[in-house]
Amino acid sequence: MANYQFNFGPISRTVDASTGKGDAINFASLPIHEMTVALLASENRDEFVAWLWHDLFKPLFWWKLNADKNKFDWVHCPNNDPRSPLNAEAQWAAFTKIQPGLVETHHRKKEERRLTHGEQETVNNEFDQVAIGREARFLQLSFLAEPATHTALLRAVIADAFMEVVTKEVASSLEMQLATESPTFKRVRYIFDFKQVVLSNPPADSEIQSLAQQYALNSVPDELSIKHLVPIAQPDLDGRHVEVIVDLTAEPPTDEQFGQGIISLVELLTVYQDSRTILMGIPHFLQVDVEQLKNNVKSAAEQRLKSLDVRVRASIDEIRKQSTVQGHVNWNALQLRRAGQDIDLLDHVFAEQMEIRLIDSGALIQQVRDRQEHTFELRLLSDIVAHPIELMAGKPRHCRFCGTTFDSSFPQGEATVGHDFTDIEHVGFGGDICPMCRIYMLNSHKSRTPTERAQGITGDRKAYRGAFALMAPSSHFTYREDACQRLEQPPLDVGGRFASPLQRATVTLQEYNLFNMISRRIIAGLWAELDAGNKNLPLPLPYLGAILFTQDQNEKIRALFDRLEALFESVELMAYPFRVTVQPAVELAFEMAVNDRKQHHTKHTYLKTSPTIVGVDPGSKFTLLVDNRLQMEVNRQFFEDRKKLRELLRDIKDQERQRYWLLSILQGADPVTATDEAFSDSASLGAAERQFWDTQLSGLSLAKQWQQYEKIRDEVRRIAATYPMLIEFFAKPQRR
Amino acid sequence: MTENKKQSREERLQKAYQEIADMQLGERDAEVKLALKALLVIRGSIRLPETPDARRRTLQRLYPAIVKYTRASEAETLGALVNDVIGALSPDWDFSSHRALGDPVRDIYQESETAKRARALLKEETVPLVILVKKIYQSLIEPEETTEEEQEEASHV
Repeated sequence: MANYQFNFGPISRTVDASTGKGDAINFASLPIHEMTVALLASENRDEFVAWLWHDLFKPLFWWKLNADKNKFDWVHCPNNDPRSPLNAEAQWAAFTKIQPGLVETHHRKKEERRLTHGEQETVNNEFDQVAIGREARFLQLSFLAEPATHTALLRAVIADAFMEVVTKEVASSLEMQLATESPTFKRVRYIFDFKQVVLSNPPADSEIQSLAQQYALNSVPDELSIKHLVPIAQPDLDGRHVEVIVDLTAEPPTDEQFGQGIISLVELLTVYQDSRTILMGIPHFLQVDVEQLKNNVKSAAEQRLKSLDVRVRASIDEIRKQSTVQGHVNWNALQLRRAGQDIDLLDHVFAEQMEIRLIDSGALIQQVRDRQEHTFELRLLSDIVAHPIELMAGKPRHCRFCGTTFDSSFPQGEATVGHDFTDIEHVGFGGDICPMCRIYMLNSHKSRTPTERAQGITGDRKAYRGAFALMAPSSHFTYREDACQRLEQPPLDVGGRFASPLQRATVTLQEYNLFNMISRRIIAGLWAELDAGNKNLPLPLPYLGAILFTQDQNEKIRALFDRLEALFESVELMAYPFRVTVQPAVELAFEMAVNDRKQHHTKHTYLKTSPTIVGVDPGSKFTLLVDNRLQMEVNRQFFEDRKKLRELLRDIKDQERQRYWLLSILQGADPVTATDEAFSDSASLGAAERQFWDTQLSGLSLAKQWQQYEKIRDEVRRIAATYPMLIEFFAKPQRR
Repeated sequence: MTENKKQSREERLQKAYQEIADMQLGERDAEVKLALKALLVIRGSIRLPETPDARRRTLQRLYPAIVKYTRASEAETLGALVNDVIGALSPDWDFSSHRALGDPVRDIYQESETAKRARALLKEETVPLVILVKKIYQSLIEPEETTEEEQEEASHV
């Protein structure tokens, strides 16, 4: 039984072996498919609405064998043929006030199709190539910086701002499009009712028609609902009901919404997301001014950084102190980006280490030949994802902090790390410094400005030093083909499409959407667990789908750490007629203070750890830095071992005694002796007997008690040997 | 308990040695058994006072004292360790003279690999062994000890 289970509705696409590309399935559900195509393929309101229900009858899973072409046909298009059981196009076109024929012709050749763009030009049909639709439009944010923990905060805030701005612009343009005709709506509700059916062999058209007639489109204020019936054969699937609600506003998602089956707009737009780049799909009808967009992103990021107490502006004196420049430099002649008297480092980052580009319809296309020497056009996702690396190639300078190649209008020089920079071994004695790392350097704990002091803002700056937690979705997902289970052969699969297990799966743009959604839900679940009030509260970086905590929230970081065990759970995706084990991924940058409370923010902990991609899977692991001095591998076993020790410590309530117990264990004592030593002030064996022996071993015969004692002793020894610094994960009692 | 009362203390001790011999005590079975028997020899040699208050006070100190002297002993053999502990306890406790224990405890005083391991075990894991022997003693020899101990604990609450 998987610990995480997701169900976004039945599958929407398969690949037929007759294509020469193998027999395979796609995991993305019908709502994800229809919404993705609607957002990326439509030129106007009518096309958008048509794409929302273009595959209306796919959940019937009515498959025929096309003997002439030796292939399977998925009969699903709503049409206007009076002889067809699926004669429903005119009815629903009239209801949704779109031109008849848009839906019916969506699979036809371009000249016969009444929709401007086709599906395969939008989500791509070149399975196994991991390409994205060549006619779709995208906005890409690229960071010209190597991933590093000390720039992770900055990059995450900028990425969140980018996704917020794009989502809001898309939502706004969508609202304008949808307002042109009724029914108007801000949400689309996809409903799937699973119903056991017994059909004739072969099924009669009247039977199929009777099932199709149970499909319905409906409109209530602000919502369009599309009801599907999924005929099934197995009684245990009977009565299942799945609802997926797509929110077309730019509202930031919450765990509560996820629990209600809501998919937010930002999720549908997010195609690819990692620490170097974000790729978002956008509709054809969205007007894009990249420069304006960039300004809006900067403005949003600046606001957020300010609220986090991160400085991005420095006086010219501070900039001069950041580096020892060789030779004479005319600072006044440099093209430095200013905000009043100060230098705007964020502006330098936006100009020198970041790029937002529009990938317009038809751009970045390659001619590719397949094994049969057929030529076709592709837009490879891997090329787009590699864009940040291409941008960095050939840059003349090299940052001593993050290892990034870069160029900047700051003078080339030797970075001076300053007298409060104690961990020189992590940055070396010489070398240049990139704009992103200048922001990191600027935010020393002693960096309060005269202006801040005048405003009454005092005390050490703790936003960019010390404890840190960032958990964001990552597109580096995987899935297990050997763990793909066919639930049943759908009763209307007359042709035998699902007669064989069909265990192979391929990935298209919409599977990237799907896995991003799963990662977001896992992270939001962790967020909601931290505090009861978080359930309907957006995440700290809601559009990025990320949790972000800094030193001031160290208690929350510790609480989050205690829940990271969730990353070692198994994840199951139900996509009728399949159930599959998947490994969505998250990016994690993590450092926490356990006992080093007072001075932790004065240390360069960010420089001692690296962000890591963690696949959500029982076999995953990651490295964690604790208290600036302990770096260790954390895996599922670690949490289980810690849980075991906590169980053993259950009856030792006092923190100080718990610490003595752990110290004794780590020095090789058995757990009973350790309990006795933890209560050494009582000079009695009573504590060891009552607080350990009787609670852990009672209810057994005397011989069994000893056997159980030995088992626990061996277990404790193994744990102590595996984690010699284990005590750092338990709170040190405060001085009374 | 009724049956226990009918038997003499020596008989009950003999029975306890047999019970230990019959126990399945895991991978270190032989040395654990020998260590338990050694501790039972020590415990068996101590007689509690007659008056209830004095008994309770003695009980409170007895087992921690066995732990203390077992750990403190520098004896190189198991038998010598037992003698050390009994000797160390003797100024404070009333010794129960009983007939020679004979075969059941003979192996404590014989030099063997098992006895060496038992001695090492007794030095290293004194606390769990003493707790187990206490439970054996209170289960098989003097069940009333448990009640007295509970009363003593209750008086401290």
